[in-house]
Amino acid sequence: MSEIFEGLSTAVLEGDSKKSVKFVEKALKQDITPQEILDKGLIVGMAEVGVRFKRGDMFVPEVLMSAEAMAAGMDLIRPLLIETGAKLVGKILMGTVKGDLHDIGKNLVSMMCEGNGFEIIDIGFNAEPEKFIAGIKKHQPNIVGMSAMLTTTMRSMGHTIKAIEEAGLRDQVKVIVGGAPVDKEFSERIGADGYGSNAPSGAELALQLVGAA
Amino acid sequence: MQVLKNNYLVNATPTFEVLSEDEIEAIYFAALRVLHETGVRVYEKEGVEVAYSGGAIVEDTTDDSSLVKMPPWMVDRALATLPRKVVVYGPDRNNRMELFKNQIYFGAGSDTPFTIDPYTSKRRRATYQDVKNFARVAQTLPNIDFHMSLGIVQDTAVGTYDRWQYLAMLEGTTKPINITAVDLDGVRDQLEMAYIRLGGKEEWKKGPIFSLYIEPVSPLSHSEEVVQKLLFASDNDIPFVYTPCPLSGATAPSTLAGTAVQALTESLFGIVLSQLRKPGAQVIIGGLMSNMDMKTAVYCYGSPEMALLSAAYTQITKWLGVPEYETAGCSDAKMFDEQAAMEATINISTAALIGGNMIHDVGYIEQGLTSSMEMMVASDEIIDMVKRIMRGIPVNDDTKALDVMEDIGPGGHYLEHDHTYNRFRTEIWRPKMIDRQVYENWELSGSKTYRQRVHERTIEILETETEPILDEAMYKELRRICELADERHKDEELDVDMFS
Amino acid sequence: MRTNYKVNSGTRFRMLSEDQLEELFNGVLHVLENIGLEVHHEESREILKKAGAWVDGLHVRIPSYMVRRALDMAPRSFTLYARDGNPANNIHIGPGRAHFGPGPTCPNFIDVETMERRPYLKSDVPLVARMVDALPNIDFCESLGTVNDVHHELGALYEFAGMFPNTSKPIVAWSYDWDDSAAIHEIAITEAGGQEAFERRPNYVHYCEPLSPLVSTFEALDKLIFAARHRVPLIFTPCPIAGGTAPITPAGIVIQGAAESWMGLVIAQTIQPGLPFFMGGVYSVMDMNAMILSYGAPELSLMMAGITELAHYVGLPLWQTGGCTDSKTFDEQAIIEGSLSVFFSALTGGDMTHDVGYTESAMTGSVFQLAAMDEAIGYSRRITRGIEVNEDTLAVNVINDVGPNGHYLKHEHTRRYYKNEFWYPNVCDRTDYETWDMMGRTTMKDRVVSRVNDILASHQPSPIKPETEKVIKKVLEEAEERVKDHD
Repeated sequence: MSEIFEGLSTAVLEGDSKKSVKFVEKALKQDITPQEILDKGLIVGMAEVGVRFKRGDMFVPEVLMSAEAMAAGMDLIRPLLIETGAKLVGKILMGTVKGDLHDIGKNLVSMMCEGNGFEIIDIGFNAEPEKFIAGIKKHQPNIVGMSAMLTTTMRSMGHTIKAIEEAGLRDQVKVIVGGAPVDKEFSERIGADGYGSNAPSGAELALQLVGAA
Repeated sequence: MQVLKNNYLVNATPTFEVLSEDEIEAIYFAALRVLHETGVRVYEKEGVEVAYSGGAIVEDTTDDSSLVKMPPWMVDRALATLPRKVVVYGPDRNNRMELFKNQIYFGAGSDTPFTIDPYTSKRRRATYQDVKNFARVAQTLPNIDFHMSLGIVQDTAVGTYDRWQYLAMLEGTTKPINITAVDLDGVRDQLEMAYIRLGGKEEWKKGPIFSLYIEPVSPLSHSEEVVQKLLFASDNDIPFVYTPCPLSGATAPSTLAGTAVQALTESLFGIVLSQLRKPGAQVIIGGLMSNMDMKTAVYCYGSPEMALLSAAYTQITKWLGVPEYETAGCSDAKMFDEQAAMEATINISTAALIGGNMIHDVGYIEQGLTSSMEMMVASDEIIDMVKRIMRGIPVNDDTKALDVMEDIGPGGHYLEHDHTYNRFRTEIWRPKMIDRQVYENWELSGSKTYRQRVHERTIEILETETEPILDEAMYKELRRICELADERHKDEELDVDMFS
Repeated sequence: MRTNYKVNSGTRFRMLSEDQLEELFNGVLHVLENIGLEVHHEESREILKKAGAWVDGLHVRIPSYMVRRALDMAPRSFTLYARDGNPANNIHIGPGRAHFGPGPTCPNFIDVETMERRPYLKSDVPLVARMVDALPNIDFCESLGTVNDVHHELGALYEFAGMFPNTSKPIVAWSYDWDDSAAIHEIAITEAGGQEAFERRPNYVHYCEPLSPLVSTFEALDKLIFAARHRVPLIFTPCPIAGGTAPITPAGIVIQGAAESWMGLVIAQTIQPGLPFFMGGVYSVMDMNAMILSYGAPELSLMMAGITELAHYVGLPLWQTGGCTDSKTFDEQAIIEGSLSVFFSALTGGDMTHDVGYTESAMTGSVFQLAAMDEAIGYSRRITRGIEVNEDTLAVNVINDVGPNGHYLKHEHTRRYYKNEFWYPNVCDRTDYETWDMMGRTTMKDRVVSRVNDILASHQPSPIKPETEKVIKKVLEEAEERVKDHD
């Protein structure tokens, strides 16, 4: 059984989505619980990815391939986890705010969050407050992530949070923000729950906010 | 009789190239293919229509955008009317940039959210006063030829910061300015301000006193605001800088050649659209082209790839015959330290060698998020050093000095010879903040580091009183435009104070 | 497929045109043939006279045809070998290849532990050599200093004895006199496996320095003759000072310096046809206020580019200068000046640039400067490597794949290129502000100091043969004996 866990975590470490899926299927056939698959296989692999990336031994494209392998495995066990009522890592609604077309940062942090086990609903760029609200209502995410590249579009972050409040949805979600001109002080001023200065820290922050870190 | 040489080719300056002509062509033809077969997404209806009327293929139209594809002949036709030289003046028309092949000009960068306080060395959000101060510093530095804000004004209304920024710059400098604009309204307002500064709309015809910075999004995405600005600038004889900022490995291919192809595609779209709108519209292309550091996921401003890619792109623009927007004097360091010094020295050298035209971002640190006055002041000296090398080596009877050698002979010395005396002032570069003292004297004068001397010089510039550039009346008139803009846009502001 | 496709392999830099180089070349010939030099070495004068030169007392003029013949005989391409046979540390001298290393003879050194400036000691030599051995962009070794705590006539020998066991990269050696050269040579050939083996695979280069203007000193020539007779690759280069011991103009200093080198070239090639021979030197200006030879001046890069291209024009490799500074401390000036000359050295393409790590106008050697310049060299090399343009790198299909508003982060094309296409720094920081703040707000200086300490704590060079160790011990004893009655 430990071979399967090792094989799975290695597949994640090596960024091999096909192998990851294969090992998850194998594990399920052997009646290993989805929770164990998650904790002892997938998460172990991604944890090692995190360690190596911090050390400078792994590069971003490799990390993203690992995140993809993680997500591929997650896709198989997520419905099973829901069934058993086990705690999912969570769901994040991600968007670049109104007026802003830059989304590489958002994409990067989304992929890293997938690597942490999150399900990502991406509402794209130039997203108005209404779009965020519709997304919250439809998908019931734990976290709403907003990205902006310009000081002018940073205002949309404030407008969006206000709109979420006015829609009575603010208590249902944690809001995190990021982007080049954003900083901690600004995030606090507009009432966000957190701020990530780079993609990896954003992904870690998301874990902390759902109590999984 | 002494006969002069003929049939003699001289390198009046050193020469430098990254790409061969064949390689330039390869990139160009590849860009033509991408523009034709992949196309670009355009988020502005009028822009799409202009392209369509000009012969473009328009498809995949959604609510907010269309995919526009342009066949190669549209580019050829546009290049035929594209000006090979663009001139941008300062409010003082003696300050000017003649932007064409191999003419180098250095200048600042724009819109950094943060700045290093020159007194406390702390990093904080930029203010109106910072932007004004940077303009004053630029005005003083001899090797800064044009200016950009080096800070987003964040102690005025947020949505109209561009007008305040322009006012602050006009208060500080009479050199040519490259402006940014929040949106089309911002361009209109700043143009009004320029007319006021010039003393009338007609004066603009004698030559523009600003160029407009327009940045499409990579890959291949031209937003509503970007296209609006392009059309407006073309209509109103405003030279504009059309510069994508492709990030190799993230928003552009991981190969430098591929990044150049994509960037060129994005620029060519801007060129074609502008020439369709108004043949002869003045366009400058280039951009901040660099790589993503794949260990930290950061957008590098100080990497060798940035310098190399910019240089390659410059060659392409020279070959095409369009003025160019280069990048140098910038760094990924978080303060002006040895890393900033190294990155700036090498990227400034590269930009000067390749002959970039508007070489911007002098004074940028921390991946363009923070401006540093010390970086700017130090870079001015670095540019000075590089320019000494750019003078090349003249070879003639006088410089060969063979008769002087014969005069002095083996074992002699040159210190007192006329040949030396008549030339040392022009031949030997004089350092400003660079220190050449012997150790004991350096100790006696305080054992200062270069950064300390740069800091002193920076403070000296800041505290030197200068005559106000704008008189009361003009300042009031210009300020009124800013205030009117604030009033028009006040409902877009947030209830909370965003920055202080 | 595309045919008739001419590409640049690396960047292309030119300071001078062909016509200008030809004129400079003729200028050098003129100096040798019409002006002449003083040669303070009887045997050399005899050799020259016999070969066709005009000798009048100390004064020697060399006809052009003799110079051309010597230039013809000297090789443009050859290899310097790592003493342990590791091919990664061989140096291939040839067109377009720029190599870097430290310099010798600074009186002072920056203490690695205290960072204080103090006299250079015997114990610093192995340390510098180990740094050279470890740094990826440093190709050859010199000691960075003159040993102060041994008999003043033995400095060079102790340096060689200290460097040789501590790096397998080729060493550039200097010596006081013939006996000194012989002692150094004995060490080198022992490791190589004898004189014949050494001649086929030389593991060190001998440096000699004539005097500007236009004087070939006895010591310089005596050592030159030793090197020539024993087929040791030779550097015979001056340190002319523009405005002081050479004309103030770049064209003038280049001509004079070349003439000073080629005097040695003719003698060397007459004795040993085909001897690998470097011209070049340290060419810079006198700062007219501080009255020092400036190692950080932009003119250094300018003049070195000039002499480099003249050398390549006539088919000789060039002994360059760069990576050095006038700064008295490790600061931004040290890095500006060092990076400037490193970059231009890299641009000119060769062949061996020395004095990397020199500070305070060659008064103080610093491994911190050396390590920082290692980074600048890596940076410069990425630029001079240029851009590859082919079907795959143009990536037209990849761009089409990704399309407007897409991204390339997970594309297979990106995964194939991102490691090799991009340079990854060792001491440059590329983190975001918050991370940098959290990790201690380090400057590049802090990180360089860390790196130096890490290397010194861990790097082990390959060992020399036991018999070479014995020979080192022996020659040092013999040398001590030889000088003990000298003052």
